[in-house]
Amino acid sequence: MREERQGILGLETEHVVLFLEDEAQPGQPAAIEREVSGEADGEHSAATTPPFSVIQEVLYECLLSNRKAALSSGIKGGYFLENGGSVHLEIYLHDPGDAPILEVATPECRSPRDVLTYSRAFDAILEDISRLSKESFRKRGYRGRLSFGKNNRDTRGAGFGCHENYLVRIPTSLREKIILGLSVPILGLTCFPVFAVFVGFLMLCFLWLLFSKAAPRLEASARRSLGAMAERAPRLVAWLRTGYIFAVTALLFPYVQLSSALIRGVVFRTFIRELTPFLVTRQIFAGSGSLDFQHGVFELSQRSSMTSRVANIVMLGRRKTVFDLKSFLFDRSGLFSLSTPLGLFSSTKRMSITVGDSNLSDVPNFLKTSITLLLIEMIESGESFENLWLHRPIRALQKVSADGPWRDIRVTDAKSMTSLEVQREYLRRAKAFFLDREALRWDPSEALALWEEILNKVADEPQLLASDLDWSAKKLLLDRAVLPKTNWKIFFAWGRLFELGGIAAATAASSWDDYFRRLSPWRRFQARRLAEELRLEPDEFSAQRGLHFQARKIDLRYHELGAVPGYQRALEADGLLRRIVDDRQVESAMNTPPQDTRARVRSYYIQQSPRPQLLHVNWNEIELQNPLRHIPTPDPFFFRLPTD
Amino acid sequence: MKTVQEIDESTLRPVKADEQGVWQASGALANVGAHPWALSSIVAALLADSRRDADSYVKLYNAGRGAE
Repeated sequence: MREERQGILGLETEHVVLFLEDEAQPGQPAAIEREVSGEADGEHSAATTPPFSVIQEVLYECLLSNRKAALSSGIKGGYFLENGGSVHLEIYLHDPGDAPILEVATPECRSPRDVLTYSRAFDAILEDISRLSKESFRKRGYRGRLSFGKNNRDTRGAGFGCHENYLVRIPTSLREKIILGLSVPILGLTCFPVFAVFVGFLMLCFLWLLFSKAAPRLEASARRSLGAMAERAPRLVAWLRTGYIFAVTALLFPYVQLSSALIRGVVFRTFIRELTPFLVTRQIFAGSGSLDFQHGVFELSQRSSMTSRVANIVMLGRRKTVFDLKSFLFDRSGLFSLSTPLGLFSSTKRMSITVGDSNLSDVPNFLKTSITLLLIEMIESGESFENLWLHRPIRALQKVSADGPWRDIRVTDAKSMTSLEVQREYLRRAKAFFLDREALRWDPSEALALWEEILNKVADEPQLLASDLDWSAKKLLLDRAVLPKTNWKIFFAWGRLFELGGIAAATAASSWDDYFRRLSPWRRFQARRLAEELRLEPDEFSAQRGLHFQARKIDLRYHELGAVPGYQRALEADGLLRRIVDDRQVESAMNTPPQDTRARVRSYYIQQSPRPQLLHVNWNEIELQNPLRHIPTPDPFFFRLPTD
Repeated sequence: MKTVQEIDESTLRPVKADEQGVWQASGALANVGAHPWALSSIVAALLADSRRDADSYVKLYNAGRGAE
């Protein structure tokens, strides 16, 4: 077994947090029912739907119930659990109608099977939280429970992600080192605005210190007032935190843009070029499927239509990338950490792939990380896939997602290939590469065989894919819902109309005429024109609206994790979807870390700590609070315990 | 309904939503009904659930500005 070349990998997955009220059936919150029927008022709605602060309190209370944890010292807060992974709520502006976003991160793993197991362990933890939350809400006067949407797009088209992280090794050539060396002084200059603000902040702290020495009573009074203000106005605190993030983003802009160009064009050039064709086409097995009413298609992937760049440092906004280079800014593992200009010279780099969908099913979840890891191994060894380089990767990504596995995409030598052909070429090369090589830490034969089997099914027996893949299982449910009542062409024609007018008008309207009355004059004009163009029949309004929302519910509820299972979990529980890891392994991974990464060290200290508050943890460090002690953990491969 | 093998190469072109299914020309999904579990009782139960209060559920699913 080779040890030295084995990578580290992990998944970060964002979930929508839903509050489902009790009185109604799952997916029937009474407050919304009243709002739809025009009965709701602000007070009543606020009384039945808990505010964000209560949801946060309940969520963390249930998370920590019978579970060891440590406070995360990261800016976003949250907790690290005894399995080495982390959970936190995203920081953002909260509108009363917004559902919060919860991010979970698996511990560092050294095999795709481990990543799959820990990904499912976090699914199970969220299901636990959902079950426990009912009682927690009851104690606070609310009747309902939490549930979690593990998908990538909400009803308004906002996207959230599933980020794959791989530790990769790239030998930098002399020419590249020279380019990077010449760039470092310029990069340093672009840091100047951040440096100036930092100095200003230090001066403010110094002045405050002087103030506290000169007038201690006044200082204590001011501190109490600020604390009371923060308690009375949590929203203000949220605004300040968001303002801080925006300010940092603005100050970092020049540095970010220059770093992006260097990382994209020099440091990561080989990986981006060689791996992108695979990532663009792997959605034929890794996509989660999605209804796209704007374009009138069932898409293979949820993230593809939101993706507009191959590689960039993404700070804020809806524009997504195939590779997110942000880790270069936030790595804090030492002098050569990626957050300093010198980090560009680091021999190991964290590669963040952000184009993938969240998967609930084992087969796509296992395949997407295992095959990516195998290809990384090949690229690190100098393999090139020049015959597959794509002419316009983002266009190809969106074409494949919208038009299916047989869509032709252009490769750089002016040839066209289907995504299936691209995948089969990668498969052929990978099989040849690993045939006579020393075994990996994990056996690649299982992944290669499964990859081949799935590609063969795509080609020859696509009707059987529903037992393996998320997009196919969801498409089967949608076909069963839509096709007995209408055809896809008419279904999507009505979908375009409802999309144009917005969900609120479509849910509230009692008839065709009422629907148009609820639209603004301009929207009404557009909707009338569209309805005429598509020759929609007013008599079909009610039936088509019902079908539209039924299909949208399938599209969303397929991904739900909770006490009442979503559709994928229901199909899986009936044995209709293939499993790769079993429940026993998943249950064990809820409380124990991988034994071959630094997650084991993190877990050891978490298990020793009597309370979460007494231990502050981050990916690269552990801080014991009593007595104060700092334990750096910069090496992800280090797993020795003090007791070993 | 055509299977992949029955489709001539010249017709292997994608189409947007047509009357019988997305990607009908490719044959990929036209025949999902042939899957062994398409007519199972669990699928029927899920379809019944999906009809219930679907508009409320869809409206609830709103991450708003929280997303990324």
